[in-house]
Amino acid sequence: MLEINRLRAGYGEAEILKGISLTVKPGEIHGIMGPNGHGKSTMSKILIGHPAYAVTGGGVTFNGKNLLEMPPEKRALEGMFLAYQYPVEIPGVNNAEFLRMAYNEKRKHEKLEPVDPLDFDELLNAKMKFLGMDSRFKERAVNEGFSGGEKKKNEILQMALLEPKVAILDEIDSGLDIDALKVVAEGVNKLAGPGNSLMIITHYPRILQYIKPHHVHVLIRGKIVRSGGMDLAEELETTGYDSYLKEK
Amino acid sequence: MAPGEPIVKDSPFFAALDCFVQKAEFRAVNEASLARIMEIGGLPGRKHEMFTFVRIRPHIDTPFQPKFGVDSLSCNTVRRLVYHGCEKSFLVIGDGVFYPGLSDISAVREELTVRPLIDAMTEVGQRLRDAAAATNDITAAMNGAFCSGGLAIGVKAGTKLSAPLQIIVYSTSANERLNATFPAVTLDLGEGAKAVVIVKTAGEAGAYLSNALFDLRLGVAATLDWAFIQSDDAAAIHLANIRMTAQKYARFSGVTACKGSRMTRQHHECRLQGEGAELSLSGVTILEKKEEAHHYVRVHHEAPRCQSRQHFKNILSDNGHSSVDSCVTVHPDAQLTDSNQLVNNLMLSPDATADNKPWLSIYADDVKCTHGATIGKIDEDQIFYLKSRGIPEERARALLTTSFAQSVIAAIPQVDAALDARDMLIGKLEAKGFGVN
Ligand SMILES: Nc1ncnc2c1ncn2[C@@H]1O[C@H](COP(=O)(O)OP(=O)(O)O)[C@@H](O)[C@H]1O
Ligand SMILES: [Mg+2]
Repeated sequence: MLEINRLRAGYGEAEILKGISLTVKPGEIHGIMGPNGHGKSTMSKILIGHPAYAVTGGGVTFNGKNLLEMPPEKRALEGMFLAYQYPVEIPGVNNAEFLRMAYNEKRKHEKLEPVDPLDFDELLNAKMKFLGMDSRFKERAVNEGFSGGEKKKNEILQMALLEPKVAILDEIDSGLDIDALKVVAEGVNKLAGPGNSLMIITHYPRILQYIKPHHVHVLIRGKIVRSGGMDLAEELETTGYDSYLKEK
Repeated sequence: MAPGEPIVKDSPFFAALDCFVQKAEFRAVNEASLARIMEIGGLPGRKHEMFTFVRIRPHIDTPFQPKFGVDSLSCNTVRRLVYHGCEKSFLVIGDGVFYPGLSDISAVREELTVRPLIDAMTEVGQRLRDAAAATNDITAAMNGAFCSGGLAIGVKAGTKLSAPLQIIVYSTSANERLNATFPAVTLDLGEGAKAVVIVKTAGEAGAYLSNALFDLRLGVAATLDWAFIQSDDAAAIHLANIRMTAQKYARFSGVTACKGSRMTRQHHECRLQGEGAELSLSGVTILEKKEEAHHYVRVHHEAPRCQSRQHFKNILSDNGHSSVDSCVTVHPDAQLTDSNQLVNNLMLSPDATADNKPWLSIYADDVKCTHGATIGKIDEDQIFYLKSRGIPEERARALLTTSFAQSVIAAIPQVDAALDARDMLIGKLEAKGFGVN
């Protein structure tokens, strides 16, 4: 589904990703772990086409197509999704209207008619209820004044509506208390299935107790230094990243 | 006051005076205003402190024809301007003159008094004259010098208008000359009275000069929800003076939505005279081509514990030029004043100009006053966020641009007026490819 091949990228002169290779197959859940500042968010933003980063080498294919050549909105419509570590606030834009607009863009891409607003409202209510979100978040401006946890839930709400093929969740557990984390994890697990894949990015292994990955990778200094299964996550839970950081 | 250039006897301004047929009822106001024009030194030049950002002179010292009354104004033209919900509560001023026959106030007839200004001059003449003798604003003095008609409206103490009142100010355009109209409207709300009043200015396609004055008086604990929809033709010169005084615990909440034109300028002079009075004034303007729209605002806190909130938003494309020159003056007795002023400008073009001067003049010590101004472009992180959810670039830009204006439009206290302002303003953006739908 997603094939990252020796990807090198960075900001201007600074190279952050130094040759990342990773293959994500349909139905797989990958955990990407590593300490802060080693390139996890950079990788996720490059995959969705953020213009601040320059790719300097390697490539990415998504369902056989060259992902890096697609504009960001095309990537989204084809099924790439990032739940941001730091979602932006958009004052003045009604959250429910934004969600419906995004939902309708996807329907348009699938050659479907725009959703009936009342039907959408019902759909939205159901998803929000499931995520334990108060319905007043419909009427608020997108992410404006949301707490950290509320922003994360709003990201997962978008994921639930857009049903992406590859969803990258960047530090989705930060800002969530344990109960909220369980709800969010349940929501994510419900969306996982044989046809779509997940990349769970985290520096803290806790979330992987709730969303069990098939594969775990350790990302240090812009490289994947080790890959394994769930046992690797458990190992990191006790040992931390110190041994990887010492290695040169 | 910086000296202006004296009005020379052969200027277009005097030519207009020559052919001005004065009405006896207005003589005192006309003369006081003319005397004031001479006193303040004639027509303001570029260094005039009140016109720092506005080249007003070419729009005043220009050949114009004072006009009183329309040659023809059809019911159909008027009907198109009446808001849903105001069908039985609207008043029509056509080329400076009130037309009872074109108006309909059947829904609120028992709740207010409405008279042609000419019939009310024994009561309101003195206050118009006093204001004329004191104004520093050439456009207000000009209104006074030529004023010959308008409206006097009163809402009795304790009365709440059961329907929003709409005042239509309509101007006609002529090919061979510049029609100029100078209506005045006085509006008095008695103690505890409540009203929603919407002004809509509009006119025929083509050039005209509309210079209207509104004198609003809010009695103790009166509430006025006010909106001003400036939808004049792009070739028009729109000048408006809005004076407001508020007694104890009165509340004025005003929104002005400006389409802009060759020259649009509004001067709000607001005085919070009684303890605990509140003012909120917001404005939204969308300009394109070489359009201009200028707001000159003076808010005076003259009593303790008053609150004022101002928020102006401008969206500028092409060579549009806006300005907001807004001063809050806190008088010595006005302890515990709470005021803020905010101006936000969204620039869609490098050739547009937004001048901002929110400032304060404070003579009391225990006050909380803030002010600020921003000039910005659309936030690229916000654009990217929307794009990463599958929304194409142009729609993302349109969404962010329209929503910038929407918060002020939403404050318009009458649904159909808000829709009208939305169509009028957002319509300009949509025509430029900023359409959301
Ligand atoms: N906007 C930016 N400009 C320049 N450098 C950045 C920017 N954002 C992040 N970086 C740098 O890129 C590196 C990787 O950051 P990031 O991908 O956010 O790490 P992680 O998500 O693993 O914590 C860090 O050294 C960080 O300082
Ligand atoms: Mg990160």
